[in-house]
Amino acid sequence: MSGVPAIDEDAEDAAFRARLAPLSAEVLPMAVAQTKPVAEALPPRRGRGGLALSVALGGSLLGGGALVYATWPGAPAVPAGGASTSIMSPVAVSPLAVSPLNETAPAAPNGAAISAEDRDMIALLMARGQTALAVNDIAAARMLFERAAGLGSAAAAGAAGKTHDIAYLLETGARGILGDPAAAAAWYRKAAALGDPEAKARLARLEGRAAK
Amino acid sequence: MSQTVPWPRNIPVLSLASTKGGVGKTTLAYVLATEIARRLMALPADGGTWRRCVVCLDADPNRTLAQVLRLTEHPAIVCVESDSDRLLPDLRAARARADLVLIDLEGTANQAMLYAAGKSDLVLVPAQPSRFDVVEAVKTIGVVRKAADLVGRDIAHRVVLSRTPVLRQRVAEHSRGQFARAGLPLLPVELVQRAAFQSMTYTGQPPYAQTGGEQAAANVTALADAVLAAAGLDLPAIEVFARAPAVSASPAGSVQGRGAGGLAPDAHRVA
Repeated sequence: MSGVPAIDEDAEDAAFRARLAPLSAEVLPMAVAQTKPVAEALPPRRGRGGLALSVALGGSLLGGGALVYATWPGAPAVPAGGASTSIMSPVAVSPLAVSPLNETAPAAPNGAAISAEDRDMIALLMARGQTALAVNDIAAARMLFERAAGLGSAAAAGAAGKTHDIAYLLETGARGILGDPAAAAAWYRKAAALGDPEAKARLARLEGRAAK
Repeated sequence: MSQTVPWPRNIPVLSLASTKGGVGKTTLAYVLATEIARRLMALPADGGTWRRCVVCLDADPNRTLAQVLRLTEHPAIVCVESDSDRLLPDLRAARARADLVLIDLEGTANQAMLYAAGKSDLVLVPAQPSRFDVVEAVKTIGVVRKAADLVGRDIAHRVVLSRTPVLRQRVAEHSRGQFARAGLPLLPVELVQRAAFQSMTYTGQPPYAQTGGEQAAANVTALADAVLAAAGLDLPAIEVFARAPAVSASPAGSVQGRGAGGLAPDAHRVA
């Protein structure tokens, strides 16, 4: 495969793509309908109007899923690399709860603009997360905290960071779960940016450890 | 069989498309690639007008074609793993080095299918003799025809019945009838159900290289002839190998005589 693509070749390809564009719009939904025929029979679940509901549903679904993970202490519940993105993806729920780990910098520098609805949701997710932590179900707690953090909660981001932090996992004597320093640092950074002092301290400790 | 039709300067592109998986796209792609590569290698020396290379673009994320071609290590086949984003540049590069490009697609309607169809000289739509496959083939051909409208040229297309039973079965006949009634052009040769087409996925040996693969190899020869004819191409078949036994030895499965289904037979077909 030799040769640098010249500009007119790119233009030619672009023109070709543009010509087929009307058909893409028609064909691509067809593929979706085909691979998931069940989706047609179900009422739409992820409408813009029902975000809060979908988050709640997602939270409870994830809680359930996480408990299943937790029953396999032998098998790592989380693959080592890219930990939390892979957790989020199978049941990816709400467009709001996009994992901030995909971004290098935290999206919102301050959490001032959290709506009342989101605050309730955060409280709910945090409570569930703490319950999960109390029974040492780190995997579930992690997902719930990450979801809450996705809504802009500093405390949740800090808590999510802890679930990835090997130091914290050792402290609590957690078993059957993998830590991920990179993910922990990313969450701590987000928490620190949102104004969580504990996260700042933990981040310093984490990076100190990494530096050694 | 002398070469009557000159090979086009614009390197021909064949695509294997279906909105349904598991219909035999990769099987067909593999046997066609190996058969055509074999024919290219067997052409008399001519001072370099032939590149003697088939490039396969595997745009199926399962990469099944790439896997089996890796086993085969055919000197005249290059397999490039592609996707919808890279398909057009990959195709351009492929055309610059090959005599023929084969595109194997994912078994679903997607962007790559549109691009491949839009660039193809012939789109082959494999389908098994079953109702699901007939429905999906109709869908696929619909997409190809619309793509042809949009790019402003005819795109030849054929349904290829695949995994058809060697023995006559009512369901296969019925499916052939269905395609005819739906106005879908059927390739006059089918990919017959044979063990050699399955064992090759493990061994990487094309039917012509397998002991006991003569009937499958004869099927492939006839298939390649029909496919090339449908694309308006001509490459002489390799006569020395196992054509006679296949015709005389198969009682019910004489592959070449099957499945014309009342459609116009292709002129180039070797009987």
